[in-house]
Parts: sequence; C-alpha cells; structure tokens
Amino acid sequence: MTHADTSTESAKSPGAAPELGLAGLLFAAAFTLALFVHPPIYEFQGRRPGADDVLARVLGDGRRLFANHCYLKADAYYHSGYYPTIFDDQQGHQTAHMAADAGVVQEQNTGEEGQFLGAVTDWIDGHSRKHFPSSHSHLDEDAPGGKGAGVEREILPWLELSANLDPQWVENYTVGAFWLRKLGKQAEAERFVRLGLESNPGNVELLFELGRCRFDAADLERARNIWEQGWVRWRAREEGRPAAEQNRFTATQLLLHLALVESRLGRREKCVEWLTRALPIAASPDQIKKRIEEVRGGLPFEPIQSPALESSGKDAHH
Amino acid sequence: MSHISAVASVVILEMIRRKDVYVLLFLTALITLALGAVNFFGDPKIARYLKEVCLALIWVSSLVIAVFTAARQIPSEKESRTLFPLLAKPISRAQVMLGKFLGCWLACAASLAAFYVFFAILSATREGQWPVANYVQAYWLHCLFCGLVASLTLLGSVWFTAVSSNATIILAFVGAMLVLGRHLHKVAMKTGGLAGNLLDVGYYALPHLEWFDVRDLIIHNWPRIDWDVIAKDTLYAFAYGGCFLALACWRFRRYAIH
Amino acid sequence: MGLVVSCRVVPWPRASTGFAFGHMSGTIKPILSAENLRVEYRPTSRKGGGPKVALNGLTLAVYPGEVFGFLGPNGAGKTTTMNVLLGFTPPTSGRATIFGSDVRDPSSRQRIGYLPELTYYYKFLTAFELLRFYAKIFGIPAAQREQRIEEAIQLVELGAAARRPIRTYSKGMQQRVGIAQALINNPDLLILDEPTSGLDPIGRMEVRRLIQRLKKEGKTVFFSSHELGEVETVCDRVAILFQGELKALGPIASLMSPGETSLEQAFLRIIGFTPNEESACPISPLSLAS
Repeated sequence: MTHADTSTESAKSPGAAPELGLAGLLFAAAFTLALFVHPPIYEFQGRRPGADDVLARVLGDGRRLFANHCYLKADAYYHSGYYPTIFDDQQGHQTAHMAADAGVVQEQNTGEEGQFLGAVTDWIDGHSRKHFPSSHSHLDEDAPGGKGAGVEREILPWLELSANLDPQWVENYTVGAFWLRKLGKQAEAERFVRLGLESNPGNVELLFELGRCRFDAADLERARNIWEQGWVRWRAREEGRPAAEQNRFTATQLLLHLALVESRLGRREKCVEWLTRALPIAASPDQIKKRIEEVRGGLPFEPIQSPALESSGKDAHH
Repeated sequence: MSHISAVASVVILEMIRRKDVYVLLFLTALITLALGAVNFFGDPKIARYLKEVCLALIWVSSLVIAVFTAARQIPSEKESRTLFPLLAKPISRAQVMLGKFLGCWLACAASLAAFYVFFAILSATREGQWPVANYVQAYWLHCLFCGLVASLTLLGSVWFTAVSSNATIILAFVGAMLVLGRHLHKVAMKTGGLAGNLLDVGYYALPHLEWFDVRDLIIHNWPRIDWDVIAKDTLYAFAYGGCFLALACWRFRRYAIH
Repeated sequence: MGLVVSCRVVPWPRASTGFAFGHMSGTIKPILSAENLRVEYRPTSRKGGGPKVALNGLTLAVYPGEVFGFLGPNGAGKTTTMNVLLGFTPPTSGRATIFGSDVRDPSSRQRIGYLPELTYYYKFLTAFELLRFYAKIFGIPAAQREQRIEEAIQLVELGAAARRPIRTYSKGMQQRVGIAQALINNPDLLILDEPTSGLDPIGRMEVRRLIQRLKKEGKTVFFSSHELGEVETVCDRVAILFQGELKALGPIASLMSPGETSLEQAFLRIIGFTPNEESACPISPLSLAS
C-alpha cells in the first residue's frame, strides 16, 4: 500500500489509520526480531553436529546404543540375515570361522560354511536351523538367490541410520562410502564422507576415504592433496605416540595411495619418496622394497594385493 | 461343531466391530509407508530394511491381537455376565472354549491375511518379485503361531482372574521364547547344576515358538522351506495347541460361575 | 408367634396329598427335581473359617404345566439353587435333574428357556444376531431359524430396533430381548430369575401377562421373585427358602394360616420375621421387596 492509498483510506474512515499503523509497527517489530534472532539460532545449530536431529535430541547419549544396533544390522544384512548371537559365542567358538567373526582369532573367512553353528546337538536344534539363515554367505559373493544387481545396497540404510545416531562413529562413513563406491555411486559416497568430516573434522580415515572418492573420479590432483593433508594430520596425531599405539594401518594406506597417485601422474621420484616413507611403518616392508626397485626400474607402481589397498571396511564387523 | 462355529462367529463379529485391528493395520501401513518415503542415497530399490520394519510391525500387531483377543474372552464374559445366558443353553463348556479358540484363531488369520497382502504389495513394488510360495509359508507359520499363542492365552485366562496379568505373563513368555527358545540348551550347558537341568527341561518341554518366525528368510530372499518341514511345524503346533486347549477345557469345566 | 414360631418348620403338603399337582406324582415324572442338594462355598480368605453352607438339603420337584414360584429373602440361596439347576455351580452333594437328565449334562438344557435377572447380552450384536446365535446353539434348523427369530421379535414387539446393536437399547428393550432369547427354542420349561426386577409397572405387567400366556400354552415356569403380590397372582405352587433351607412348599392357599389374608403375611411368618422383635430375625425388613 502506498502512502497515497493510506491517506485515502484514512480519509474514508478516521478510525482505520491507527489500526493500520499499529499493524505495520507490529509487522516491522516481528520482522526485526526474526532477523535478530535467526542468525544466532543458526549458529547455535551449526556448532553441534546433528543438533537439529529430533531423534538425537530425544535419545541423548543413549543413541549410541541404537547406533551400534544399526551398525550390527548392516553387518547381518551383509550376511543375508545370518549373525551369531551372544549364545552362539557362548559355545566357545565352535568353528574357526565363527571365532574369526567374533574377533577371537585372525580372519579365516573360508570353509566351514555348512557348520557355522557347529554340529547339530539334537532334533530341536536341527529342525530349528531350517527356520532362520543358518549358513554363512556374503551379499557380494554368494548371497541366496545369487549375487549381482547391486544387492549390496541393502546394507546402506542401516549405515546411514547408524551415522545419524552417532555422527562421531567414523566407521559408518568409511564402510558406507566403500559400498557406495562399489555400487558406482561416487557422488553419494563423497557426500557421505563429507558429512562425516563435518562431524569429525580432519579425521585421517575420512580424509583417506575422501581421497579415494576423488581418485575414483579421476581427479588425481585433488586426491593427492587430500591424502597429503591426511598424512600431515596423521603425523601430528600419531608420531608422538609409542609405536605400538600408532594407527599404522591407515598411515600405510595413505602412503601407498600417495605413491600410486604420483605414479599415475608420472612423478616417479615422488612415488619412490612416499614408498620409502612407508617402509618403516608397513606390515610387509619386503614387498614395498620390491616395489621401490620396480618403480626405479621404470615400471609403474600398481596397487599391492593386500588389505591395505583392497578395502577400508568391506566386511563391517571385521 | 455347529455350537463351536456359532461361538466362533460371535468372537469374529466382536473383532470386526472393535477398532483395534483397523488401528493396528492403519498404523503399520502408515509407519511403513513413511519409512518407505525416506531417501537413502537416492536409491529407490532398497527394500530389505522396509520389509524388516513392516514384518516387525506385523508381528507385534498379530501378537497384540492374538493375546488381547484371547485374554479377554472368558474374563469379560464372566464380568459382563454374558456367560450365564450362554451356558444356560445346551452347550458344554468345552464347546464354549473351543469356539472361543476357533474364533480367536480365525480372527487372527483374517487380520493377518490383510497384513500380508499389504506386505506382499509393498515388497513387490520395491523388488519387483512375487515369491508367493514363500509368503504362503510365512503366513501359515504365522497363523500357527497365533493359534498357539491364543490357546495358551485362553488357558491362562481360566487360571488368572485379571486380563492384564494374563496378557503380561503370556507376552513375556512369548517374547522370551522367541528370543531364547533355540538357545536354552546352550545356556543350560553353560549354567549347569539344577538351574541348567531346569533350563534343559524347558528346552524340551516348552513350545518352540521361534520356529514359526521365518522373517529373516523372507527379508533376505532365502529359498522357501521344504514343505515337509512346514508339515512337521503344523503337527507340532497342533499337538501343543491341543494340549493347551485340553487343559483349558479341563480347567474351565471346574470353573465355578456364580 | 415370635421367636418360637419363627424357628418352627411349617408343615408343607407333600405332592401326593391331593393338592393341585399332587395327583401327578404317581403318574407323571417331574420336569425339574432336586434331591437333597447341598452347596458349600470355600471361604475366600484363610481367616474365613469353615465353608459357608449356601444350600442345605434342598429337595423339591416341579411338574409339567405348573407355574412354580421360588421365594426367599436376600441370601436365602435362591440364586445358588438357580446356578445349580443351570449347571453353573456344581453341588457339593445331592443331585438335580431336568427332564430326567443330570443338570451337568448340556443336553438337559435343550428344552429350557432362561431369563437372567439382569440383561447380560453381547452389546455389540443386534437383537437379530443374538437370537440367531442362540438359535444355532439350540440346533434349530436353518430353514426354520429365520422364521423363529422373526416370531420372537414380533412377540416382544422389538420391530425395526432388532437390527440395531443392543447397546443402543433402553433397559425395557433389553429385557424384551431377554424374553425373546428365552423363548427362541419354544421351551417346555422356563427358568426366570427375578424377571420383573428393575422394570417399570408396564414392564412388570407385560412379564406377568407373558407368564400367564405361557401357562395357558401348557409351559412349565420356574421363577424366583421378591414380588410376593406377583407370585400370588400367577403361581400354582411356591417354595420358600430361608438361610439355605426349604421352609415351605405347596400351593399358596395351603401355606396360609387362618387369619392371614396375603402371601406376604404367610411368608413373613414362615421365615420368622416379626416387625416388633427385630432381634428375633437375622434379616432386615428392607431386604424384602414389596
């Protein structure tokens, strides 16, 4: 309404002018208050990761329990519903495979698939096993009904839920990003890792995973930058610690991937330099020495077939 | 048989006219569809988490329907004194009990059918497949489960005077058997002594309700169970259900009404 | 009279002494009989002492075609007797039969119509559905069932309301549903428990008219009541129960002493109630209706 309009209105009804003025004043006051209040609220929310999540507010720290449940669900889904219970563990880890899954012995993910629950104890046990997934399988290998068609996607909701419930649990992002990349969802993987970095700024594992995302997208320079940043942060965090407490696995991954990206960029000296740095911390220095010689001899550096370059969390519970 | 079916028809009519089943079906559909609308990494084909949530809601709903429908039958008839004109007719107490059971079971089966049709449609829209035989097996085993629970609850209803105490005890028992049933023997071995022996007796004597829960096989698209296994489950459920009902009839015969 | 008289067992005429139905005892079997019935209730708490005797040595017989009134003050054992006769409560000792069958046998109730004191019916059903349910239990063939239901509904004048749920009915309408369900199997014996309790005068009159009509049709009616005037109007014989024991049995005229002008006076004398000596009687006059 223009000033002229207001004058005309006032002329027509003498009582309307104060009401309109009051309404205008109220509107201006409300608008000013909103402008004044909104930025601090926004800032307040921004300082606390997940602060706008109703579930997190309702559950408080108890949400970590639910997060753990969701994470285990993702693992159970990876095994098509099979998951040993605490009672199965009570049996003293009847098979080496079960013991490996329970984390008692080192990985032994082959064989014994038929006797995952141990020998049948009685007819009730035998009959019972026909009513739930009682054999071990992996979604991406030998899932019931056959693998393929991206059935691995089924574990993703649980990882996202787990990440929502416990944003500081880094494995949710790394495992999730691994499967997203495997499903060809590079952009989604990167978005998920960046979400993790918002809650865990400078986390080395997440920086490594972010570099993998850029590397898969053929953005080698950015991948190298991210991994270099990761290396710097690892040194800052870990170098002062005793050797036994250092997370050398992540460091080895970073260094080998830095060597890989330098090799791809044709910078052989830098490649050798990263490999040489990996020598004192790697689990298998002999293999790295061999690769250093190969690179010096003019061969390109190729990924070493080891968990260090293979997976950062394929099997969620391993 | 006509007496039993007449009593059963009243139980079914009562359930049709109560709002409980509709509310549970509506809530199940609402929660499932709301969760189905959540976008996980822009992948519309993710289905198993939705199947799991939907089946969990169906199981909770069916348990609530079976327990509370069966638990209120005899006590509410006694409290509202509708049992007097009924038993003044040429009908035996055993027929009343069997009619109550049949009514509860058929009512549960009918409501379960509606729940499973919803589940099948939901699953098909996501996964694009109709494993009808698997669903029929799951539905039948679920019906057997409801029958067992209803017979057990009817037995409880002639032992415990309050509906709430009976329902609470049955729900606790069913929950414990679903979670611990197949592990009782392992726990017994670990525990040892008298407690271990008692647990072992429980393992062999109590009904293994967990056999009727094949949700994980359905969720993760495992092949269907052999039909002879289903036949054994059916016989097992009939045997236990028959025992519970026989005990309930025996107890109800001695039940003084005044 | 007084205390001494109140404790005297009033001699009551036996069925074979030539009263209205006495001649039947030799030739016609009773429809309903109780022989030395005793019912004891265990105390509900441990402190309750010994068992409570609700009925002690009750013996009576009801013959075809008679209207039999079952009287007694509150707590006399009328409801317990009804419960035994309908198989709700097992007797501690003694035997009861209906149509020659033990009352615990469900088939003994095939030819019975029962109207409870209050309306106890499934409120979520319509009157039509309730009658169909009971008709099925009586084993009435499907071909006759609907016709029988319609007749019962017409008899009690429920009309279109029969298709509405019972929970929407007034008390009088619910009582009519009760009468309809009691008659659905065209019973030979009607057991009515306080049929006029809580009804308005019109409702009472209708029930009285119904009993008289049933009597004309040759039905046997066994009913308990507090309404002594009503009993006097319609009953051929009465039994008076007090503190679980049968105090009198016979035609109303035979129970009256010279000078007594109503059943009420005879009733009060038999149970030993004297208005001037309240301590002589363990019951309160307030518990006696009418």
